[in-house]
Amino acid sequence: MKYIKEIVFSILVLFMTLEMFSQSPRFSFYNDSIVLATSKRNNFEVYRGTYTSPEDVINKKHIIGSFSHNTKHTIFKPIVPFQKGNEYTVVFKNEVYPFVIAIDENYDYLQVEVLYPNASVLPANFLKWYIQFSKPVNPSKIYDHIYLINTSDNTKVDRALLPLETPLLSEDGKLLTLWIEPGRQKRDLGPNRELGEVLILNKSYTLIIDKELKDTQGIAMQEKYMHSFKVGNFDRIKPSIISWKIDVPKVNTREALRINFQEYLDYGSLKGALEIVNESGTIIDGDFTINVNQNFALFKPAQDWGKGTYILKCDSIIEDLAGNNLERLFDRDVTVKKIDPILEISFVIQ
Amino acid sequence: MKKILFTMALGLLLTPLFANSSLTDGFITGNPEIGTINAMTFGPESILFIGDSKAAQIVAVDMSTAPKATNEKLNIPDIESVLSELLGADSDQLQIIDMVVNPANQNIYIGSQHSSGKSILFLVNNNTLEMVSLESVSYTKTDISNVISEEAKDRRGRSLRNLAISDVRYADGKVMLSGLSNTEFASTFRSISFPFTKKQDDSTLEIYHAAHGRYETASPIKTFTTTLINNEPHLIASYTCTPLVVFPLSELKSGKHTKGRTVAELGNANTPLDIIEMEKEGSRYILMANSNRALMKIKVSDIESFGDSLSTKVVERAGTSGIDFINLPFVNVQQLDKLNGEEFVYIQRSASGKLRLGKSNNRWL
Repeated sequence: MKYIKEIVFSILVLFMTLEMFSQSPRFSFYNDSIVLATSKRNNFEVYRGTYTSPEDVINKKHIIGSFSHNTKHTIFKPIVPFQKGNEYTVVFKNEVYPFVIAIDENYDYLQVEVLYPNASVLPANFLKWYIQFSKPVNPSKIYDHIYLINTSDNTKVDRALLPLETPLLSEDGKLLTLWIEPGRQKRDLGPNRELGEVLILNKSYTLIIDKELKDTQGIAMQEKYMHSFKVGNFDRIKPSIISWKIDVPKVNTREALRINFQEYLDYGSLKGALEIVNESGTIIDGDFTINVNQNFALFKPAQDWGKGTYILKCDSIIEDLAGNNLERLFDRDVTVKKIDPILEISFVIQ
Repeated sequence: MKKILFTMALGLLLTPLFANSSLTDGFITGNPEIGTINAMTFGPESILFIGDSKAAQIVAVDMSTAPKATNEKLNIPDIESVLSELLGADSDQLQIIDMVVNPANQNIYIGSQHSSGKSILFLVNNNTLEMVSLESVSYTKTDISNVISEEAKDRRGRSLRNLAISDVRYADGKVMLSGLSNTEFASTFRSISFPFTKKQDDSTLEIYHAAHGRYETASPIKTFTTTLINNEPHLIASYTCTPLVVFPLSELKSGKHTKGRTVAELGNANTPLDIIEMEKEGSRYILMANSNRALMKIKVSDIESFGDSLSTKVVERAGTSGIDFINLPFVNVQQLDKLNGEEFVYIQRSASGKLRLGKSNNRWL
């Protein structure tokens, strides 16, 4: 009889423990999933934001995703990953479980790696930059974070850059093409006649990318990016490969062939636009390294150079900084007769 | 006589066979593996064409089995917050890429993109959004990778050239698409026969326009539509740098540099976003949404009677020129499509900063 009290107490503790466990389902929260330790097919709902009671979400829509089940777990995968640093709430069996996916301590924040061209003087009819980011950048509303400042009075240049709903990004999402408003850079178009060119001769400007620009995980840059430059003369001369200087490598070596451009060229148009063939027209295997910010390209052959004559073949689309390519000016004067461009240079390895 | 009767009988027997032939006959069921939704349009038989820049393809999806949505009192005052809730993401991580209406049942579809690169299709129903899965659908598709540039890509090292599809339309058995290149300010326009065949008889066009006669420039087409001008099928295209240009479809031939007839310039720093055609009392109108101008209305008959290209300087009005157009009291319209014969649906950034989906009708015409 004396043990009855203790037995009842033990049963009570057991029930309380069971109750406690039943109230504390074991959730694990990850960037791309929520895992609930359960042997049953228990689905739950996930909401954006922190809520203290299930009533708070009555008029809210839960996050779209899919459930899968195995013998030990129920797994929820949202249609897009949870955003790091944002607050979410799981609602399960009339209880709420708020959570945050923390940003790693040593998170690799988005930054600008290279700007092409990074020239300190740009022509008044300059057309486009390429911005190389360290990781894929959030394409949504990207132009809200990029602007041009007139350095002399520190004012923002209105309608300087071309905003596009789908920004022009490379396949890996890391290289952004940024156009100076082309309607203002092309002679005789309405915007050009009324507003003139975006860049005024001899003035100084700064391209700014504010630090609110985010990566594809929704995490902003840590520092803003700035590049200052001065505006030089209009460039209305087609680039010509005749002016290029070639440093010829030694025979029977795999030394790189160096092509010196003598002027800044457009990064995007140059990539993939060069090839080297031998006298019989066979393409020489190897790799090009394009360094437009230092005005040269290197070609490293896969095999040793043999004696003979080689030809550097260029695509006519190679542009200078004002959109003039080997074949035509960006805004071609139709009264001037077209001249076929020179697209090949030969060189001899002795 | 016997022969005639026999032919008639055979004809009657075969009629149902041909009547049943459909544009969706060659479609297969499965996952079209869509990379990104960049532009959408509906063709006949509820076929949704999706321009997919990432996978460099045009996908045609049969949407005829989708139930009709309820959109009688169409109004979503803050569509970004709905998307934000459904995807669990900040609104600056999301973007509405395109909105199209299925003319067969007036279902409204919205293509959106998340910063992770994932594109999601939604159906507008009861003033909210329902995700439409594209993982198991009846579809066909065609590769457009050679639009981007194929020449000797491997031998010369990897080209950076990438195509962002800016618009897609269907007309007269052709899927047409325009694209922006990330390395060249030039026009990439392509017309592909539909149903797609293994051997594409498509044409790739580079279109130039002359600005007031003297200077000729290449420019990408931002948005376009097709219509009849003087009873001939024409393309009405708007360039990224504002001119509105018309081309007879018959002149768009493979490899040919086609010069369009500029009929208007639509103002400074203005990017055209969407063009549709509406009718009222026998007159046809072009409605155009713009990034930096109000919704514009242009009478098709004005384009028909506008004889010259803008080859000489014309009298300017408020930074625009050419044919007459009227600004409608709809500003910051980002998406536009025809809902039915009388109504159009639009997505507009309202004065409060919220993105609103609503509809209006042809009383504005």
